[in-house]
Amino acid sequence: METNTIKVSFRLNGSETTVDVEPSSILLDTLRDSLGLTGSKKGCGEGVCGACSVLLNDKVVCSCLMLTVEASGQKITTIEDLLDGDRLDPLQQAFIESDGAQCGFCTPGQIMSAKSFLNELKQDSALEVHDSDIKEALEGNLCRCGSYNGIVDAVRKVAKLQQKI
Amino acid sequence: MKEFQYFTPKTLEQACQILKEREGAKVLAGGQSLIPVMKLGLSDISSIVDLKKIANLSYIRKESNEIAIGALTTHSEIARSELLRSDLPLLSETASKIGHTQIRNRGTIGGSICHADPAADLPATTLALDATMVLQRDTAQRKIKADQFFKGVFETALEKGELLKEIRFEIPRGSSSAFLKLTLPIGGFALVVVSCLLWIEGDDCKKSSIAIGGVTETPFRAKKSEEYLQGHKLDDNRIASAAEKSLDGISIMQGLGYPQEYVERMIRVLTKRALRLALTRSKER
Amino acid sequence: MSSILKLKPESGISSYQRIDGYERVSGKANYCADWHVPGMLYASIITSAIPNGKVTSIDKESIIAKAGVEAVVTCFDDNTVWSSGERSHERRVFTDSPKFLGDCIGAVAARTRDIAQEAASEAQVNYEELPAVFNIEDALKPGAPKVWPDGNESLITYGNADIDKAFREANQSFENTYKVARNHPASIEVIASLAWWEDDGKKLVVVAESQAIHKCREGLAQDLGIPLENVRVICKYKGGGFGNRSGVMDYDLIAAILSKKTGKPVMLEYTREQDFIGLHTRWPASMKLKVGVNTNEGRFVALKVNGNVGLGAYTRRPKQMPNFLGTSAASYFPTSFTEEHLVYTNTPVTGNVRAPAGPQTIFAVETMVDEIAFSLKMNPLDFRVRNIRARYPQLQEHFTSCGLLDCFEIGRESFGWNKRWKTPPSKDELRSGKERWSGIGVAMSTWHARVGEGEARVSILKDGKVKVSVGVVDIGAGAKTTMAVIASEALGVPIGDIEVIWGDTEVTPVAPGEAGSKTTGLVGVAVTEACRKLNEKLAQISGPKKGQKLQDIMRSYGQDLSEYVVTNPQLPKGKERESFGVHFAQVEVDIETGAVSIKKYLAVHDSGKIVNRLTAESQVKGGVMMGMGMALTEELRVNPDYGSFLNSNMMNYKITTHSSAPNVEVKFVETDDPYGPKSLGEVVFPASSPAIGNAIFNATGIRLRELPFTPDKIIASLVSHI
Repeated sequence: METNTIKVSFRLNGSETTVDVEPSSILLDTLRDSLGLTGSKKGCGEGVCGACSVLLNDKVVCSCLMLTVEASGQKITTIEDLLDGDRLDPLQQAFIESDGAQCGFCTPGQIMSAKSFLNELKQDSALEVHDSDIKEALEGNLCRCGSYNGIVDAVRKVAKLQQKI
Repeated sequence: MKEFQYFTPKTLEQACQILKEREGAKVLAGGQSLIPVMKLGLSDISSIVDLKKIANLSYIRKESNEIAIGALTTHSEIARSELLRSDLPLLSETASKIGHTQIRNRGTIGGSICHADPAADLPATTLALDATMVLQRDTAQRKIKADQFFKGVFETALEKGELLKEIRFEIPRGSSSAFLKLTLPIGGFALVVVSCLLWIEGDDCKKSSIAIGGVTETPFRAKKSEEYLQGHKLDDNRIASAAEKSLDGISIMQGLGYPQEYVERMIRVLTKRALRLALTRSKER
Repeated sequence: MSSILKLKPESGISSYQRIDGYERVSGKANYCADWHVPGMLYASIITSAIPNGKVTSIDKESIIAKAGVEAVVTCFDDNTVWSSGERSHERRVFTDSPKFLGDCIGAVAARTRDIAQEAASEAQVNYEELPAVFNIEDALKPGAPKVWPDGNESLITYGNADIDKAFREANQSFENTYKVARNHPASIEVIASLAWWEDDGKKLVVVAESQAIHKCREGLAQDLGIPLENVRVICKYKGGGFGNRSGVMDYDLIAAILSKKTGKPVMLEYTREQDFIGLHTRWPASMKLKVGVNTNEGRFVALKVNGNVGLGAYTRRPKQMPNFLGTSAASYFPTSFTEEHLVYTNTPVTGNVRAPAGPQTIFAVETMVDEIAFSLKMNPLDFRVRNIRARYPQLQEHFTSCGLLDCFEIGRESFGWNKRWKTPPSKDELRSGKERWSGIGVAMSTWHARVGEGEARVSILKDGKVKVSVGVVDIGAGAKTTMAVIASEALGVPIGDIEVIWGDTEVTPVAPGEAGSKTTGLVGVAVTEACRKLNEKLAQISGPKKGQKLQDIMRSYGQDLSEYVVTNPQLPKGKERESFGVHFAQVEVDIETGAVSIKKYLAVHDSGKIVNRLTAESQVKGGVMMGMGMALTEELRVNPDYGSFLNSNMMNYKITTHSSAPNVEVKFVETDDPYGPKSLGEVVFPASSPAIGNAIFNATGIRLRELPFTPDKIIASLVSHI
């Protein structure tokens, strides 16, 4: 079969990464199939459920709506980057404490969206965090187990902690 | 997804060249509408022209009495811009309500406008603001107003080999505005979009601009409503009566998935509410 | 009335974080599609492009000729029957007689996902098309196209056939028809199955998305005709279940068949649209209820139900379920009779979705009860309580345990029901120009709390650590943690010292599967019993010396202690065992747009002893979120011309989202049931839609009898009301 693959380099979870992909390759598939990063999930493939959420230059995007070639020269962060060795990020810890994950399938996406929200909050630390802001920020992440209350609890907890610092 | 050739031109001229020379070439901006379409396999796209390696297509600038926005500026950037919040709040309000965070972080104003989806939020707002699209072909540019730009469902005035480079808005000084939409199912695509501006002087409405989207092939101005408001002191009753006229002379699309009577009623309700909100905001200014 | 029950204070319920929380929040939990085995092929299904007829040919050669395609199987070369796919009519895995658009007629295995999907979608298929029928009304017409040779309709009846006599006791009767839409489990994880064969093709290994690995294993062995010991099913993490996948699924069989043919591991993945079409959906139903009331005493006399149930082209239901509509078990009616017309159409499959038959009738009954209370000018909560008391004068004797009345009373107090409840606004008030109207509603649900066979192996190792081996999957309900908590509390061992072995038929004892809300009740009881036996052994070993640490006992004992138990408690004749829930909703209705938002929600539940408050609360909240979806947004719409779904995607099949989700308050009434913890996962769901509907009535005076309560229906109803 004739392939017209392209070499794409980007900064993935802090490391320079190069992959050979076809132009039509979707970033989510490249992460999962070629790079073995299966933390990001495929739930709908059309940018509705948010299970595939990753950070592009620190902002949350749907990796199912991105060609791998578009990542060229960019910074991509996935759920796998949040662990420090075996240690959980405070946000992940908060998800466990508030039971923000039931089946856990949407959880990596929820956490990446929350991370993006918290990143932006850092820049504006005077902002008071309302639950409605958290919900609005995470609206693109569906959870069929209905863990929404626990997720918002977890994000609020970390936002407050972050603002105290 | 079907295979295609992928181009990353470094200049607008190069991009136009590729678009001109290749059948089935399509522009890729943020991809939030294009990639789902390609995944469905509904379109015959053989070449993708990704604009993101072209320098200086993402900006929000004030140029004397106008705001110029680069086609690749994302919805998030527009929603967060302090300049737009003060000088063009209708646009930032619209952008802040598009899709969800992930879509806003990636989707662009140019991409959304050129996609010309009847259910999109931005076309109505560009119409309400009487925006000017700056189109580029090779090295030449032409300007076209929003009311001439949207031609039909997913159809625009863009010609082969032509690109949307920039969107320009005259700053609507002295106006207040409001953007409302109704999505059905709740949280889905917009069923009805209302984008409006009021210029209130003293007690009277000097001028208004009401654009309605989602229900016709391209957004339209509710001219009868605007006429009914002009020169009058606005209160709830006048606004309600004006909103009743929002559909005068308009027939809405079939197949929106909801009973026509309901959709029409919602257009009137949203128009009324948007006008009321804009009026309230005029008093807060 | 609380005095009759032994209630533990709520704060006394223990609460534990999930033992596998780390895996679930770190992305390390491996769901089926996350597996990657060397040499693995990808597979995709070939689906029917017609809603009814015969496949006359499939051009296999041109599919095989495509670069990267390794195998094709079609209805012409495989006739495996999926025996649990439909119990009354044979369902082949690959059918040559498709009965709905999207029915599986073949499958392709290829080197990549894209090649497999493209090859499957481009397959050249010839058909002989037959007329088809897409809705219940048309299917019941004389001369309608037949979905099955034996016709489109069957009738089942149950209850008191002499019901008309019972109605004579009533001085007034009420009649209304209620409709429930077709819902989808719509878990965020999409269908996938991975299969390979070991030992020279003798042994099958399937990584399944299963709620019941042991049932899945039995089904694979039976349908493929191989010995049970030659099948291994693994499911370590499952992205939600919601009442499907409680046995072998067709896609598991497809992966196994393709793997056999290619001699390579095969990962079959569905697209989201295929998932919507391929998975069982909830039976849509239309139910005409007639209720006889003795208005002098304000109590019910009899209930008669006449229902039409949509089965799609095939249906599946649990063996133990006698009917499709079910009854509200602790129902208010001393006698009842149900007539169910089961109707096949050329639309996708139906089956058991969370609390299979519960939500349909509970919606109808709980709405009807509310309507009658209103017309008798009674407070709907008092009216319910009065009728439950009248129905069961000996409530505690009738059930193994019953906290239902406490659920009502605790909820009444906590929700502020008496203060908040008022009659709905008049038409004049509604015309006043006020846009948003608030109201409250209540509804109850009951669900079987079965007892039965459970198995567990619990071992205390030499170092004092404990291993609990159970055949559960943990689809999200927290079963692993629950089992660990039970062992931890029974043995007095810190939860961190307990390792749970799960999710693999090779190393776990048989379990009923996470369906029917049975895991804690059945498997948990076995764990408790195993621990009890271990404690006896420990007592023998340690002798009369009290207060010895487990570690010390085990160290001096010097070997592992292990207990494998099978428990199978049976209820005494005449006793019923049920879980109960009473839900309270406060809604706000925008009477100009028809939008409904939930402002306050309280769920009070009796599920017996709560093993782990944290996960139990999550399950209740999740049930409410799903119930909200059923109430307000969820409906699979059928294309009137082709019978396919118009909204088989997450964009337009709308589940509850962050911004629509209310804060849900949860309270537990912990009854002391002699058979241990009662069921929870299903009873939490059905009360939401009637509670919300009743609140909409309370807010606006409009009564909606058709789910979901979409804004357009609300406005249409308001327009004719005002």
